[in-house]
Amino acid sequence: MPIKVSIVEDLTEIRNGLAELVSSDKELLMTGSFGDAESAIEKLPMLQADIVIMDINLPGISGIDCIRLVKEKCPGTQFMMFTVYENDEKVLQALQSGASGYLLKRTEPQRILESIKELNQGGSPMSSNIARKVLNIFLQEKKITKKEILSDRENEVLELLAGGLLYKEIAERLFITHGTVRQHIHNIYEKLHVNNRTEAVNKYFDRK
Amino acid sequence: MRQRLLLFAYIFVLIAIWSVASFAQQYPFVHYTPKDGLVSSRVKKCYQDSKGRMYFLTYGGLSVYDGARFRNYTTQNGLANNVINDILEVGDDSLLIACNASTLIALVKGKLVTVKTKGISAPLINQFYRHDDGSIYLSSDDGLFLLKKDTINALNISRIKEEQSEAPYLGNIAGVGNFLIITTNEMKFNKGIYVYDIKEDRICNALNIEGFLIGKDKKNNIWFSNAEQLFIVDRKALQKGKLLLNDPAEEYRQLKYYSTVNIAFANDVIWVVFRNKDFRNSEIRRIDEKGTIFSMPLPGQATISYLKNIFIDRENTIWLSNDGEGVFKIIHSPLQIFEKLFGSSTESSISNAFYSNGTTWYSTLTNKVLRKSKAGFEEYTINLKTTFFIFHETGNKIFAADGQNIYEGLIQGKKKIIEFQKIISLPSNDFFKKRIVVSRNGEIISCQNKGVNVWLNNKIAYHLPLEKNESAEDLFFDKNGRLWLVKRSNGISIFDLHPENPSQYLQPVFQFGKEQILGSLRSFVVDKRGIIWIGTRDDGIAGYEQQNYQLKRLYHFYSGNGLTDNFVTALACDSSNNVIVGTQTGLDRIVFDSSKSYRVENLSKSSNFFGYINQAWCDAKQAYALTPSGVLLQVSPSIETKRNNTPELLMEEIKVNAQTVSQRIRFSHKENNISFLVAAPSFIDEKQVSYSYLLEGSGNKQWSDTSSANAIINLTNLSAGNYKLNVKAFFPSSTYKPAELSYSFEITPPWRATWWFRTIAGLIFIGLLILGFRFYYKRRLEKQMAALEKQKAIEQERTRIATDMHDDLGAGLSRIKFLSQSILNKKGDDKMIATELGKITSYSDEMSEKMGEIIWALNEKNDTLADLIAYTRSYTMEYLANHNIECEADTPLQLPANFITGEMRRNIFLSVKECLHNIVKHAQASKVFFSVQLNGIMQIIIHDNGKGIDWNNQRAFSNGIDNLNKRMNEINGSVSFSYDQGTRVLLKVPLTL
Repeated sequence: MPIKVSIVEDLTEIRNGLAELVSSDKELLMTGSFGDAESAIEKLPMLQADIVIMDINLPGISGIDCIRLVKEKCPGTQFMMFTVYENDEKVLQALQSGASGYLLKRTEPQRILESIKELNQGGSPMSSNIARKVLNIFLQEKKITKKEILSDRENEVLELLAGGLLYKEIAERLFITHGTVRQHIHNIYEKLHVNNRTEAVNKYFDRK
Repeated sequence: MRQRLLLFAYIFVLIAIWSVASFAQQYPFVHYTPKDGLVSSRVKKCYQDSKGRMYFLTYGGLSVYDGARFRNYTTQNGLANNVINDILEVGDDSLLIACNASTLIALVKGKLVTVKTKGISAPLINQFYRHDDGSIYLSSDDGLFLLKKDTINALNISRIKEEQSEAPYLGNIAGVGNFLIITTNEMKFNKGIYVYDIKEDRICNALNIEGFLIGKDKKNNIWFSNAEQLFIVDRKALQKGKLLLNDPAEEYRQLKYYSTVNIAFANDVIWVVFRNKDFRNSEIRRIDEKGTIFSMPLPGQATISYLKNIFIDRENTIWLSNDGEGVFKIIHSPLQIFEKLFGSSTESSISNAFYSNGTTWYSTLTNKVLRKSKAGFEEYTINLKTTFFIFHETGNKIFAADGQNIYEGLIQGKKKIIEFQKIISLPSNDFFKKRIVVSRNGEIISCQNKGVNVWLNNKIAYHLPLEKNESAEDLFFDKNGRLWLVKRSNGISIFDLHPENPSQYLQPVFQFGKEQILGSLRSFVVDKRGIIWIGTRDDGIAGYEQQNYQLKRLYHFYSGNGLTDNFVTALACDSSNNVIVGTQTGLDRIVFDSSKSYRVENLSKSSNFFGYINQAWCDAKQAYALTPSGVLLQVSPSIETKRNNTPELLMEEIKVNAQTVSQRIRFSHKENNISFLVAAPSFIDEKQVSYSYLLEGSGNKQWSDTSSANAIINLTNLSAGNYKLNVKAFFPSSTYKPAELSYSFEITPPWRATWWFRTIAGLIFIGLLILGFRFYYKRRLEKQMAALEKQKAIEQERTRIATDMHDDLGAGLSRIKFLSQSILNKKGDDKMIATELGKITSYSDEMSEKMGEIIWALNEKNDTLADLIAYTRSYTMEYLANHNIECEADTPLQLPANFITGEMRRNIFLSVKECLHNIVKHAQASKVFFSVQLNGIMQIIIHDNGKGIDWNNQRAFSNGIDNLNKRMNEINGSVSFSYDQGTRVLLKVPLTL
């Protein structure tokens, strides 16, 4: 089963380039590409892609809002942010909104394809900058709920990541594989989404 | 130390008086006239309030005398009339005054007020009468009234009114139980005496006799006097409403046929002013319970005008009110003054006295001498015409001397004659001085002008010459029989007597040199304790103790500590071992209660007698002194008799800036010149009552000097604060303890110095200070805020630039990249194009990457130290990994979230990047050690294993090193290079954590 990939990117050249790249890989299946969020929102639930590569800066509805609106309707879909720069504040917002990874636009084509496959297998990338912010979010959450949300190992991974260590280094230090590190991070993203949703629900009820 | 001046007066000792009653004696009295401050010389009567003040009721106003001053009240102060009829104390410092007008006046705390009475208006009151039950009855021209609080009720005396056509003009009242006796006053010639029944409110009895109701004695007997005699009202009859006049009790037999209105009733005695056969007041008689009479002559001046009243005050001092001559006070004094011992002839006055073994010889200026012994007085006629003095008596022989001769006299007791014979004569250029003594062997030793002679068988046996200008003042045999020669200038020489060898009769033993003696010696006595008292010309009297032939001074009395005068002319020691001190102006007595407790009594001064004391001596009982004019002063022994009630020390008046004010405790700061007028009413010798004060709160902890002048305490220029004025009064009698008074008062500060003003001012000041500081800090904060905002704006601008770069340039670059990628895919076979396109892709990636770094550095959101370190670390790892260089990194995992400025972040990161770049480009290293340490400063070590920097050919990377230096300098950091199997770069940046 090929991995169904959809692309939401407003710039035609990039969208097409990326689509070509995805199409060139036999393990991947292009299931639709959209130049704006509006059409993506309309179509994505029907497509039920495995991976959606989502640009952040879209005209009209942003990529982040797009994920928020679509995420519920696409339970099997993982969203991968497509960004120029990983330390962008918006990347974090997107990750909180439901994205499970991100992809730098400058990434080499081959590496892009690998990243898509890794994400599909449950591995997520995370920069130290994002790790630190995510760590803070969980720390604050812990303060409010007084519950450990992350597992010890997840916490450990997150802390090392925040300290600037590369995946490789973390894997060496924790005697785990590179993939396990990615898996942990993926799980952290999942918890971040849940956390974000809980927050949203709480906010909803607070307003009442 | 200044010794307190204490002067004393004494209880009368009657027996002492009787012993010389044959002398014509003069009692000391004090005469008060308007010259002394009395309001008028026409005095009607005296009154004393419970605090001891004397009130003199005159025809010209009221005088209040507290011993320190007279305070006078007339119509000018608020009296309705200047004729004062009566006065009655009704409360503390409150007295009712009946003046000769139909107005009731009260004197309350020194101020006159008109009493507004309820009921009927005040009548013209002649007398107040306080009945046994406390009711106050008013006897007035218009009738009898009862004063209850402030209500006056008229009582029914219609019977008197029926009998008399005019107003009743009531006089005195006195009563017992339910009945009052009332008389009409002198305007009606004292006609009629009535009994008023209080219960029935009517006149129930009357006697139609002329008389004067005197009043009640201390035994509640009512005394009545008519032209012939004194009566006592029968009390039992009176209690039944009957009026019956009895003779006085048997003990007052003398008064039975005697008529007077001047009677005073003391506790156990009655004092009357006695009138002689011619109905002239002649003397004062004191009749005690046993009927014993003591009489003393009235002061001559007191008999000139009509004597209105005799009053005995609580100290038994007699006050006589005289209509025209003022007030006379006769006090009891230990001193009796006998001006004329032998009647009125001046020639017979005493010139000298000699006392020996219980006998006193008085020589006179005439041919008479008086001998006083236990047997009494004997008068002798003598055959001497000169002024002489007697100096020795033995058997029936008596020795006398005048200036030139010594006489021996034979006493012929029966004939009362003494015949003198001249036995020794001096040459005309020499003369005898006052002192001649006779030794145990009978040798006469005389002081002369030129020395001391010893006479044996009336011939000079021994002559002791004196130093030039020396004068022998006294000769004295001590208990060892040694002769003391007391010299004016050269001290005291002590001699042994050698009668067995007349040529060596006086042998000097030792001498008290003049250096041991204070002043110029004039008089001398040795008391029973052996204290040697030396009176001086100018330095008072000093008492010395003899220690190993040296004199040690123990006492010194002079005018400064109580002596009347510093010129001590005569000394004697009485039987109680008190020292009698005669001075040139009077007689004093130094009384020793113990060797350390003593006092000086100014005997003559307190009796208003002043005179030169020629001679002083003592017999077994009393002390005597004589003046050159022959006045004999007789001093009774000092007897300690404690008086019960020490006179109260009173705050009489307070004056602020010379104006009398009410007695209050708070004065404003403008009222800081305050005079306190105090008095302790004691009239034994009120001029000698002295006062000392201490003002607490003034900082002065010393009591003032003790002086009668301190009856007015002037405190000037007091600063604001709380004060307590303590005053002590000392009485001229050891029998009164000093009286004390404390008066606390406050001078309030001006409003600008009050605590509340100061507090408010202080608060305002502090408030302003706080406001000032707050303003200052607010300004500073505002400036900082402005700077921060500016900084923030810059940061925001940078972020905006970063965002724009990201969004637009980033998108553009990505577009180029993907475009070229897409072309590459399509034109896969053309190698050249492929290469070119690959370059485009690679450049755009590189640009994108660098841009990412720039964005990172610009973006204000990555502003913590943790961001910097983590980012730098991961960058280093990735960068080196991308260039196949192994990297070992050691950075702290627990990264502080401290703020770090964008400038620092950029410079540090770019410096590291520069280093990494150099390693990749030049070092040819295979491994890099990267570490970050935080320890107040941030140290970044980048250590490669490359070939090191070739400093001889550094052009290749000189740019890079310059950049490093420049970047580090910008953030006060430093960069240093070292070689340790590769290049080791150390970046040091100070952190303000």
